[in-house]
Order: sequence, then C-alpha cells, then structure tokens
Amino acid sequence: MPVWPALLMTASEGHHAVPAYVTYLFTGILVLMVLSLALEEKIHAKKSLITGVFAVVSLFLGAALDLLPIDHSPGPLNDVAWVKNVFGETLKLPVYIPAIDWGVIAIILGSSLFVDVVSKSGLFTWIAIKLTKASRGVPTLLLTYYCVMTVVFSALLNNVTAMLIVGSLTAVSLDKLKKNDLLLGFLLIEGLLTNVGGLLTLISSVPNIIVGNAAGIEFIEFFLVASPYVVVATAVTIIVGARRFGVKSLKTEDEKREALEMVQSFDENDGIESRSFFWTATALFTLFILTLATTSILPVVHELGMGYVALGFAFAILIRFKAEVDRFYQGIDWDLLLFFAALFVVINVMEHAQVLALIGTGLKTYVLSLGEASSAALLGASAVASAVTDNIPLAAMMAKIIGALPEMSGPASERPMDLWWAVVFGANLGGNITPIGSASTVVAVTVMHKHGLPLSFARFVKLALPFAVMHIVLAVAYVVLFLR
Amino acid sequence: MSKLDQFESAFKSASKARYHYSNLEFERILVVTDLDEDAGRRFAMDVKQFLSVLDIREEAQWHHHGAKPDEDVVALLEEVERERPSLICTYRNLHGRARTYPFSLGSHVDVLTQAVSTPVMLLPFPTEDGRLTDACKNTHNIMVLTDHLTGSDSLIDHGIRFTASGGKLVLAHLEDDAMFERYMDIISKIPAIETDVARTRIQAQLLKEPADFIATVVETLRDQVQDVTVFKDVRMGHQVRDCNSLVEDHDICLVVMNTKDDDQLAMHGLAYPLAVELRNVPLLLL
Repeated sequence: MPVWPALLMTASEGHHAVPAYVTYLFTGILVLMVLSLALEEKIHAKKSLITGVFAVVSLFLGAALDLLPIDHSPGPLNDVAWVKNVFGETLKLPVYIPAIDWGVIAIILGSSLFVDVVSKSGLFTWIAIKLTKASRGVPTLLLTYYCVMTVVFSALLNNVTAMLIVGSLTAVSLDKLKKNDLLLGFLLIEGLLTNVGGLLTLISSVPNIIVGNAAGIEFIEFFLVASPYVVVATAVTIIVGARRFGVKSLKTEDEKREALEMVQSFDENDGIESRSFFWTATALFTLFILTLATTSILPVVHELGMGYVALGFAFAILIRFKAEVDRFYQGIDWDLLLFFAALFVVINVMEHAQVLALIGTGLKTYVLSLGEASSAALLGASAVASAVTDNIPLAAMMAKIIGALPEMSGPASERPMDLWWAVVFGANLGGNITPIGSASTVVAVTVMHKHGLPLSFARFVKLALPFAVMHIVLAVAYVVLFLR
Repeated sequence: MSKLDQFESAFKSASKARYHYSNLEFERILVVTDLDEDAGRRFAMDVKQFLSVLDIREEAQWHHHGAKPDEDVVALLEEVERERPSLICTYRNLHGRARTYPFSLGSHVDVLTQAVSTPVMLLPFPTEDGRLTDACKNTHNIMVLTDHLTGSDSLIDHGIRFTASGGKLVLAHLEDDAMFERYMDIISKIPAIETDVARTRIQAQLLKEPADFIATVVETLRDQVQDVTVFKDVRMGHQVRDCNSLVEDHDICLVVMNTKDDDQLAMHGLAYPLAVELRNVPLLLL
C-alpha cells in the first residue's frame, strides 16, 4: 500500500515519550469504544457514529496532550501534519488524513460498488436459482448447494451480500417447498458458513484485507493457504448441520416429483432485464476476480494496488448506467466506510499514545511467550474477542501490534506467518460464537425474525457454539500443524 | 428499501405460479327453465346444440327441469340436490318479474350461483318461443375473464373444455385501474416513495404476473391440448367498460368467470356487475 510508508513515517516521527497516565487514559478510551461497539444494538447507535465520536475525542486529547505529529515550529507548515509524497514533496494535510488507510477504503468502496451494480444484472440471482433447480428440491442437496454457494459468494463478494442472497432465497424456496420447519437450521448453517467462506480470499472480509495488507500476503497465496481449511470446514459443517437440524432426503417418488415441480417453477431469467448487460456483468465479474488474483504480478496495476482494481472495475461497469450513477452512490454503505475511516484515526491516535505498544507488550508476555502454543492462543483469543465485539478494530490493532514485533523485521522467510494467520482465522471464526459476532450472522438472525423464527441471544449461542468450537479447533489444528 | 427486501423480492418474483391442466368431464347437465313445456324443450335443445362440444368425447346426460312459474328457490335447490348435475344451464331473471329491467340476475340465479358448487351456464333470456338468441351459436371464441388470473387453474380448465375444436381461448386479466389510481394517489402523498417509479414498477409487475402465468398455460397446453389456440389479453382498465370492449374485440361467444368469494356470501366483486351488464353473452359462472 503506497499510503502505509507515509502513514508510518508520520506516526514514527511523531512518537516520543508518553507518560504512563496518558497511555492508560487512552487505553480506557479504547476499551470504552470497543464496549460501545459491542453494545451497538443496545445503545441504538450506528458504528460510524460511535467511532466518529471517539475519533473526535481522541484527536482533541491527542492534540491537547501533544501526542500527534503536528509541527509547531514557525513557518508555512506549522500546526498541521505533514507527509512526504513519492516525489519527496512535503504535503500539508490535517493530521487525521494520513491516519486513514486509504488503500483499504478504496478496496471496500470499489468492490462494494462493483458488486452492487453486478447484482442489478441478475447474475447472482441467476446462479442461485440455477443451483436451486439443480437440487431438484431434495432438502439434503438443497442444503449442500446453498452452503457451497454461501461459501463461494462470501469469498468472492462479501459475507453480508452472500447472506442476503442465500438467506432470502432460502426463505422463499423452503416456503415454496413447504419445508418451513427447516428454515432455522438452513439459515443458521449458512450464517456460520459465511464466516468460513470469508476466509477464502484476501478480499472476502475486512480483517483479511487489513491483516493481508499488513503481512504482505498476496491474493493467490492467501487463497492457496486458506482453501484447504475452508473445504474441510464446509464439508464437516454441512454433514453435522444436516444431522443436527434433521435435514433429510426425500423418500417417495411422489415427494420427489412434487419437489421437482416446485423448484422447476423458479424462473432464473426473471431478474435479467437486459441480456447484454447480464453477459457484460458476467464477463467483468470474471475479469475482476482474475485481476484481483493476479494484481501482484500485473505490471503497473501492481503498483496501484487492489483498491485501484476495485475502483477501476466499479467505474467501468457504471458506464452502463452513466446517466443514473447517483442511484448507486446512494446505495453505498456510508456507515461502514465512515466507520473504517474513524476507526483508523482512533487506532492511529492510540499508536501515538503508546496504547498499542502496551497491548503488544501484554500480548508478548501472556500469549506469544507460550512458544509452540502461541499461535493457538492468539487464534483463540482473537476468536473470543471477535465474538463479543467487531472484528475489524481487532484486526486493525493486531495488524499494527504484530507488524511491530521484532520477529517481523527479519527476512520474509523467517517471519512467523502463523501469527498473522492466527489473527485472520480467529477474527473471522469468532463471529460464529454469538449472533452479534459478525454482520452476516446479524443478517441471518434478521431473516429468521422476519419469517417468524424468534431466536434469542442465548439460543443462538446454544445452537451455534458446537459449530463455532468445531471451526476454531479445526483452525487451531490447521495453523499449528501446517502454517508454522 | 433494505437489500434483504431487494433480494427477497427478486426471488419471489422469480418464483412463478404454474398452471396444471385438468381434464373436465360434464356427465349430467341440468337445464332449468320457467317456460311452458314446448318452449322449455326447444330451449333445452338449443342449449344442447350450443354446447355440443360437451358431447364430443363422451355423451352427456341432459335433463330438463321445467319448473312452474311460481316455483320457489328452495324447490329448485332440492331438484339440484336430487339430480347432482355437473353443470346447470339456465338464463338470467329465471322466475323473475323484473326481467325487462337490466339491474339484476334475479333472486333464483343469485342463490343458485352461490348456494351450489356446480358451475352455472347463464344464458341470455330466450325468445318468446324458447329459442336461444343468435349470440349462442357455437363456442368457438371463449374468454376466461378475471381480475386474478394467476393460479386460476379451474377457470382455465373450464375455458378449455368449452372451447370448440379449432377454437380460440382468450385468457383475459383486467386490472382495475380505478383501484390502481386510488393507491397511486395515496403513494403520491408519501414523500419516501418516488411516485413515478412506483407507478411504472407496480403497474408492470401487476401485468407481468398474469402474463407469466399465461405463458405456463400455453406451454402446458402445447403438450396436452392441441386443438385450442390460446390468446393473451392482460390490461389495465375499467371493470365494466373494458370488459365489454374485450368481448367485442375478440368476438366472444362465451365468458367464463369466477363468482365464488370465500370472504363473502354475495357474488364475487367483479362477477356480479359483469353478469348484469353482459346481457347478450352466455356466461359460465363458477
């Protein structure tokens, strides 16, 4: 990421001795923010507002306590942050601008905009209905296909969009098949698999993007390392889930014929308003995935990064709607983007206040000192933390802390990569423990509630915990045995 | 609108109702008149001629019930109970004294259509000597008319059964534009809903569903019923004015309509005004 060096320069040049009480004060602020995010539903406040308020307070206190890299010397660049660009020119920017990881913001903005426009072509609903018809309405096949679709969509789109597509289709198709009693089980398994699928590629989830960027893991490398785990975890989840929720095959020929007739009445072409746009979107989507996969080896594109690729494809497909692009801008998840921006600002201030160094020290003392078991402990701790609060602040903090470890400054081949993977697996899989652990499980619960299946926090944990523990144990075994 | 709703709407729209064909047979047909004996017999013969399509596959048993002029509706229902017909043929204002006033079907017909589950073929009032009018020559052009065609398999089955070989079956869906405008007027007062978009999208969806259903009818009949040509007429319009226009446009000789409504004792909302207005066209009331 071209921004990182500038950001680190700004950060490192502003570092100076910080009194312990200041570090503890900011630690308190960080803990308060994490708690507020965990209680987001209770306090009825959006993430962007919560982190925005903490960013404003942190910046004010950071500036007042002289923690931030603001130049107070006389001259034209006083009282602002400054950074040097690639040409060596000094840029005059407010201190909170270089604090934001614009590479991550560009990936999220570009890919969400691109996926939103592609979904208007009817491509995703076409795939979803084709798979529904291929299942012939047999519940076990339907569950298998929907689970695979959940994983693939989570990997290629994002886990929230995947859950929205598969969850809404599940509700409609099971209602049509008169199998509403299976809806809870289907939605729960799919919700859990969004977080498994979210592990498959570098762009599948925000923690992957943050940690992957910080660790310098390329798209293909990420995929090759994560895919064996995802395949095994998905297969085990489907088998155990089908048994746990009584998803069985159809017995009589009449049942099979009736189910087949019901799913055949789905029309996969219904959502396709324009054939030419459908094929254009299909081609661009394929090209998008291929370009992301090969960004690290593509000349020029490699220097511009995945954010450029995502934004480039978003604008390319928006040409189709050139007179009404504002309609798609309205659909951008501004809450998410502002949340990231504010979060990066808070984390940056925490870094200047030596809070991350404090956590890093604690981590070294209690987790990384465990030797062989350190990655397992880190994975478990990350999972537990992600279960009760947002995994994005966790990933952002851990990326900074692990990146600053002395072991990470050695040659690439000697760096303990299992620590990065422990955070990736823990941050993603922790979302399966509670209904608020990840945005996609929140969507799954919302679909349940919408269809008259009230699922309390405790019941969700009771149903999901065995699966979550199974996923985490498998991940620990995988990281310890294969990624050390 | 949330994205969850967007995707759910897309999948609900893709989930189509499909038509399932059932072959109907009318084995016992009861012709009810209040004419004198000779006129009644002539009327029954004309009805049999008009509905000759029912005799093609299997000879139906025809029974003529020539009631006394003052026969009350209870006696008529008892006769229906005894005969257990699969079709009742009669005419508007049976036993009615207000037949010259075009404001009702008469109490006997009103009760008959609602009290028994048997379809009622309601014919124009016969001539003085009991003959059917010129409108009732054959059943080559039949129209199934409703404001809710999707899922109305039985209506279509009846339409097919009564269409003469080589004839035309028009599946007509009329969406009440007065009701639509009323809702649009309300929508136009809600700032959160874009009125023009709502008008275009709702209207398109209202007409798309019956059109899609008719496509499944055509697909099904292609394999099972070859000698009937299906035409589609899906439109917005005025309940009575446009129905008259549909009948004239397609030169219709029999209209098939649903009269039963689970929520009320009276005849279905669209059926009664149409049955009253379409005085010169035979109607099959289910």
